[in-house]
Amino acid sequence: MNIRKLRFSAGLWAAAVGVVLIVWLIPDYISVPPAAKFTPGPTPRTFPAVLAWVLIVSGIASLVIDLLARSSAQTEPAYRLDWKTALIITGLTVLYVVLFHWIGFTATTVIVLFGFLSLLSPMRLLPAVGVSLVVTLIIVLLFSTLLQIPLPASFPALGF
Amino acid sequence: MNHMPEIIGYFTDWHLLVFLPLGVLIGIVVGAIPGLTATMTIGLLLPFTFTLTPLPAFILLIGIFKGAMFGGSIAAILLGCPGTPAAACTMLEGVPMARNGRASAALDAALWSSFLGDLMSTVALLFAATYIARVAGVLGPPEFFALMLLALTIIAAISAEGVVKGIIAGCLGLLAGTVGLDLVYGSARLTFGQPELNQGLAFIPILVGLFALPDIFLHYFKTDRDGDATRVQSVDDEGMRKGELRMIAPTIGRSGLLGMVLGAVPGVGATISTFMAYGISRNYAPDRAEYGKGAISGVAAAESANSANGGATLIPLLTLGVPGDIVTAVLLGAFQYHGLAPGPLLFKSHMGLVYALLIAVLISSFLVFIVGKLTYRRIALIAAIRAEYLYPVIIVLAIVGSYALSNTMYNVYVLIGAGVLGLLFRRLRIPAPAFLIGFVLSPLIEDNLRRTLLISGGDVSALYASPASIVMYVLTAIIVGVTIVRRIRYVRSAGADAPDEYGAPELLDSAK
Repeated sequence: MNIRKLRFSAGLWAAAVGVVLIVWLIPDYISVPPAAKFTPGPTPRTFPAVLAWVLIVSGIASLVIDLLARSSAQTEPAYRLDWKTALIITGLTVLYVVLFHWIGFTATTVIVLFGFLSLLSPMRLLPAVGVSLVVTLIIVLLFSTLLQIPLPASFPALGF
Repeated sequence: MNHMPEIIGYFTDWHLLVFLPLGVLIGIVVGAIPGLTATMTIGLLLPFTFTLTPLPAFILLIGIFKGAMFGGSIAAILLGCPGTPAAACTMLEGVPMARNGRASAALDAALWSSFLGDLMSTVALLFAATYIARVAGVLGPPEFFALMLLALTIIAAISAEGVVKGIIAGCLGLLAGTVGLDLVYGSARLTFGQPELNQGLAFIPILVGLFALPDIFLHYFKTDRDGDATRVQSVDDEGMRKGELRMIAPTIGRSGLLGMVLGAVPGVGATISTFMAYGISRNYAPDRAEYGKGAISGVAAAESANSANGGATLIPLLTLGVPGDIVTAVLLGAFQYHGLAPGPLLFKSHMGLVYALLIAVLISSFLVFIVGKLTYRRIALIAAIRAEYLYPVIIVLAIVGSYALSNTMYNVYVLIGAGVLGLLFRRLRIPAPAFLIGFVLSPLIEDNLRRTLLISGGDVSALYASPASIVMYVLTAIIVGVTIVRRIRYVRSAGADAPDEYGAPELLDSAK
C-alpha cells in the first residue's frame, strides 16, 4: 500500500480508536462504583478495555497486512463521485432532519419528498407534487391513525 | 399436548391471519425490487410491530424473510439483477431461459424449488428445535460465552474483507453495545453525560442507518448510475413442461439438503450454499449440457439451496439464541425488543408460543408458494419501479420510524450517525454485518462473561473449565489462525491487479 493511502487503512483507524479508548474514553467516561472495587470479578471497565486492546492488536495486524499488499486497488472507491447529486441528497436529508423538529412531519415530508423527486428523479413537477402529497398522507394515516403513534404536527388545529 | 389450548388461542388472533400472508407478500415484492433488501425492510417495519403481540410481529418479519428469498429470483430472472449474491446462480440460468421465451418456466422452477427447499428446513426446524433446545439447556454461562464468541468469530472470519477486518468490525459492534448503563452496577458507560444514552443505542436506527442509508446514498453518489428504466422480460409462456418437475426433483432434494445442513451452522450464509449446490448440480444434473445456456435444474439447485439455508438459520437462532447471519441477527433484535430471549429458556418459559411460532413458520412456507404463484406475474411489473422513486420514501420511513421509537429526535440522530458510519465502513472496507451481529450479541456475551466470573469469584479459569468450552475455544483459534495464514499467503502472492475478494464470492450476505 502507498504510504499516502494509509489514511484509508481500517487497521490504522481501528488501532487509533483502541488507543483513544484506553487512554481517554474508558478512564473518563466509564465510572467504577465503590462496590465494584471490592468485589472480585469484572468491573464496568473490564469488557470495554478488553475490546479496546483487541482493537489495537487487530488494527496493527490489519495495518501490517495492508502494507504487505502490493495492490493499491483496495483503497480506491470503484466509482466516480457525482458531487452535485451528493450535495443535493445530503442537503435534503439534513433539511428533513432539521425541519422535522421545527415545522412538523406533514409539511416537512411534502417539501422534502418533492425536492427528492423533482431534483433527483425524472419525474415531472406536477406528478412530483401529487406523489409527495399522497405518500405523506399515507404515512400520516399509517402512524397516527392505525398505529396510534403521534408525529409532530405541522397543522395542530387540523390534527396533522 | 399441554400447550394445545394456548396454541389454538394464538391462531384465533385475527392479526396472525392477516400478517402471515401480508409478510410473505411484502417479502416477495421487496425481494423482487433491486435495491431493496429483506434486512432493510425488516428494520423499517420493526417499529410498526411494537403495537402487535409477539407472535404476529415475528411471523410478519419471518414472512418477509421467507418471501424475499423467492422474490429475489424474480429480479434475477426477469431483470438480470440478482439483488443478493445468493441469487447470482439463479440469474446465470434464469436469464438465458427468459431470453429463450421461458421466463415463466424459470419462475415456476424457482417457486417449486424455493417452496420445497424451505419446507425441508422448516420440517427439520420443527423436529430438531426442541431436542437441540434440551441439549442447550445443560449449557451454562461459560459455554454460552464460548459459543457466542465462536459464532461471532466465524462470521468475522468469512467476511469477504478478511478475518482481521471482521474482528475489527465485531469489536466495534461489541463496543457500541456497551454504551448505556452497566449491566451489574448501573453506572453510566460512554454516555458522555447524555441522559438519552443511558438506555443505550437503539437497534433499529443502527440497523437501518448501517444498511439502508449507505446503499441509497452511494446510488446517488455515483456518476455512472443507471438512469434508464429497467427492462423486464415478458412472462407469457406456459411454464414448466410436463416431466420437468420430476426431472429436477432430485436436484431440489440434494441442493435443499446441502443448504439446510450449511444453514444450521452460524456464519455460513446462503451464498456458499447456493454456489456449492449449483456447482454440484453442474456435474450431476440430467440437463448439465445446458448449463450456461438456460438449464432449468440450475435454477432449481440455486433456489432450493437458498431457501433451505434461510429456513435452517432459524435453528441456531431459536434454540441457542445465536444468529447465523444478518437477517437472523435482526430477528434476534426483534425478539429482544418484545422482551423475549431466544434460546433454551424460551423453550422452557414460553413453550406454547414457540410451538405456535414453529407451526406459523411451516404455514408461511406454503403461503410463499401460494402467494408467489398468484402474484409473480404482477410483481414483475412492480420490480421495474425506478430506484429514484423508492429511495426518497425509504429515507422518510427510516427517519419517521426512528423518531417513532421514542418520540424524540435522539434516535434520528443515531440513525444519521449510523448512516455516516456505514459509509465510512464501505470506504474502509469494514464488514457492516459483523458490526451489527457484534452489537446485538454484546449484552449477551458480556452478561455470560460476567456471570461466569462472578460465580467463580473472579477466577478466569472458569471460562474454560468445561470440555464444551475448550472445544469451542480451540475451534475459534483454529478458524482465526487458518484464515489469517491464508490471507497473508494470498496477499504476498497477489499481483498488482489482484481482486479485493480473495477469489471467493462475498460469503456473508450484507445485501440480504
